[in-house]
Amino acid sequence: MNEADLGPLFELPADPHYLWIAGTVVTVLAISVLVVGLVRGRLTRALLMAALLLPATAYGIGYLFMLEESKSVEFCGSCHVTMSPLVAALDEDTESLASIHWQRGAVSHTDACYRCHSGYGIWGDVAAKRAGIMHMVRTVTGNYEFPIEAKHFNVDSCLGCHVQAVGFREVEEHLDREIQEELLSGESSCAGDCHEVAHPETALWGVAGPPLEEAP
Amino acid sequence: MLRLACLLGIAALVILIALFLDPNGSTAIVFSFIGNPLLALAVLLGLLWWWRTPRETL
Repeated sequence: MNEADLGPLFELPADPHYLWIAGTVVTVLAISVLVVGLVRGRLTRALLMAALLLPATAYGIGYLFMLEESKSVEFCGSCHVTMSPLVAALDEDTESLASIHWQRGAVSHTDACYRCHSGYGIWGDVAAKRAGIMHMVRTVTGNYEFPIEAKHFNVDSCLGCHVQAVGFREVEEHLDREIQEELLSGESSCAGDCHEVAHPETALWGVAGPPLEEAP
Repeated sequence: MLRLACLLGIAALVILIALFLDPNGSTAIVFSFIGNPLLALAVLLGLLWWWRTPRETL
């Protein structure tokens, strides 16, 4: 979505990019000090301290920046081979849970992937970051298979928003002990088992799409 | 040795700038798996240079 879609006066929430500004300033300072070292071949004690601390600080800010930016839908979709069809389907598809939430604005367009795949609360965030690191490792090593699937979808992601809704609690199945146990243990899932699938099946096969069925 | 450390450090920081300018999966992977080892090596060489350099010359 861009600002032009919102009419003459409405605008998207402002994002001041404090980490970006701080990181860029520290990085430029660090490069300046290192260039002095590169040219002179020696550094004073003060400059040496700066040459050691500034790059480390810049990288620390870089990590925070990456953790923050990796929540964005654009970031997820940037892994072209695997993820871009899933992100494209948010706009194009109308049947899956993800696209229904997306098109109704029930989930933020800024970090929709992260909201639904991170569980809820701080441990959900930690689990999502750990999973994100593994995604990077798998991307580098090519250690993944199509169709991609979530090993375990944390039902807390759904409950975080839905559990307090009157309409949710009025559904008898939602209060059934057995069903709740199955959902919490990961034996079953809201998506696909009772409600629509999370993402369209074709999008799970990456940009190449699903394989052509063999002729009988 | 210090020159090499500075060169590696600059290379690591250029990778970081790429991440700042265009945060996406590719730049994040390069930052994590190439930038970090480069910076670690640069810091190690810098410390080694400092350790081997007589204090009075600093």
